[in-house]
Amino acid sequence: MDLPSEIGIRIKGLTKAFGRQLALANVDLEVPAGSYVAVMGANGAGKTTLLKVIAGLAVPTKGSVTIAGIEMRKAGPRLRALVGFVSHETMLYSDLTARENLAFHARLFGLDRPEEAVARAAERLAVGHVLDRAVRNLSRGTRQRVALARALLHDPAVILLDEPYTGLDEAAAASLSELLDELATPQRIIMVTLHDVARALSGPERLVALSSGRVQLDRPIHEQTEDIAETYLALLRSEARR
Amino acid sequence: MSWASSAVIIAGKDLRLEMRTRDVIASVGLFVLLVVVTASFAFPTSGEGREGVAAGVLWMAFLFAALLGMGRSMAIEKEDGCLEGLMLSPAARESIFLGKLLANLGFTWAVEVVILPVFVVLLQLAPGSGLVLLALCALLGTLGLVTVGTLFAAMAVHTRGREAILPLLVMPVSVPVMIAAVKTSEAALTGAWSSGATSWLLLMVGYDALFLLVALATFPHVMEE
Repeated sequence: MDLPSEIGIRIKGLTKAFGRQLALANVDLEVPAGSYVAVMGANGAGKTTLLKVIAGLAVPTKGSVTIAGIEMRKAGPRLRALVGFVSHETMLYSDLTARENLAFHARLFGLDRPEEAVARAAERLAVGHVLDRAVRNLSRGTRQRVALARALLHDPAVILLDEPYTGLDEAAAASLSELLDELATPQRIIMVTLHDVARALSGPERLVALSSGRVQLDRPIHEQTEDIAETYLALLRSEARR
Repeated sequence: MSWASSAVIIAGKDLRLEMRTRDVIASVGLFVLLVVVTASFAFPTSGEGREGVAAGVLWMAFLFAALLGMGRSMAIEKEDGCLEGLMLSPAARESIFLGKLLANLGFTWAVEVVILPVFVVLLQLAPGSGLVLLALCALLGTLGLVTVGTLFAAMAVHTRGREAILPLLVMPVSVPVMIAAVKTSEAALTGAWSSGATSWLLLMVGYDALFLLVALATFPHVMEE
């Protein structure tokens, strides 16, 4: 399968239901290459489900998700290799060391020099000093950084981060923001779910807000950030009243 | 990357985890040893049909041991979302199944290699050259049990009472291979291998091949949410 040089995500009429519970309802979204998108919304708004469907971890009930024009579910291994995903869970084996975990994933992604890839990712996320410690002995924040290193090992073109700042202290959070700014290149897509409005307005270039599984706000963040923040907070307040 | 390479990487990871924790080998090995030792006290030291009863005891122990090991092996993947990590990788879904199967087979066979001689000695059996045939029966019977078990463990991993559900799923489907394994093991222990025993052995080969194909075909769908 030849992949187009330009990566873009197209979501059309996406609906995802868990039994009778509708997590996503008819979501349409175009995310071209070079996008750095903050996905926001109250708890249960559908942010995590949206990222999981894009990553191919959840099957849409209706509608479609394509990356580079190819449906993720049908794409197979080569398209999956383009995606890096960090979820609420670390996806790390707690009885293995951070190095063993990263090396395992590097090999599974078929990287040529797994050890070098591990060293690079560890340096990027400043976890080099804990590489030989068992993951279960790491603090929550350090585990989160190792999880980020795992997701970035293969230099993915699509980076999906589900509340990546959870558990990070201020310094680590600032480093992550810097790293994401650095990773936001015209060839790449970054989608990050957040709760912090200030953080959403300081790095990402677009804000998508979900409410009850629907896109309620989709605005570029270049100017009028106060206006966007007000609109988003008003949306949250109206949802809380419901 | 080929299925085989990915499967070996996944099985290697499971092996490394097991070396670190000894979770599966210790619990499964101890369980089988307890069953065999307990059986040895109640077991008649002479009389007709001893080998048949012994084969039944042996395979019941192997079945429960395999269930324990496979349940634990898949539960590790559920912790901290590790299964999602595997699903996100470019590894073919089938290779994930093969990797887990290889690891589960390795653990179960390792336990069997240790337990079989203990079983023969404690139950005062004299299989003689039948020991090789007994080993072959263990190899084929375990392959069938673990193939079915690995598939069902993946199905059960998303359910709440997975420890209880796994035996309920595996036991009915494994009846043919269990009967064949007991019959062939009995023949191996008595040293009276017949054409009937060969038929049971061939049934095991057919069962293994069939369920391996079924598991490879269905595993990708099982893993989809």
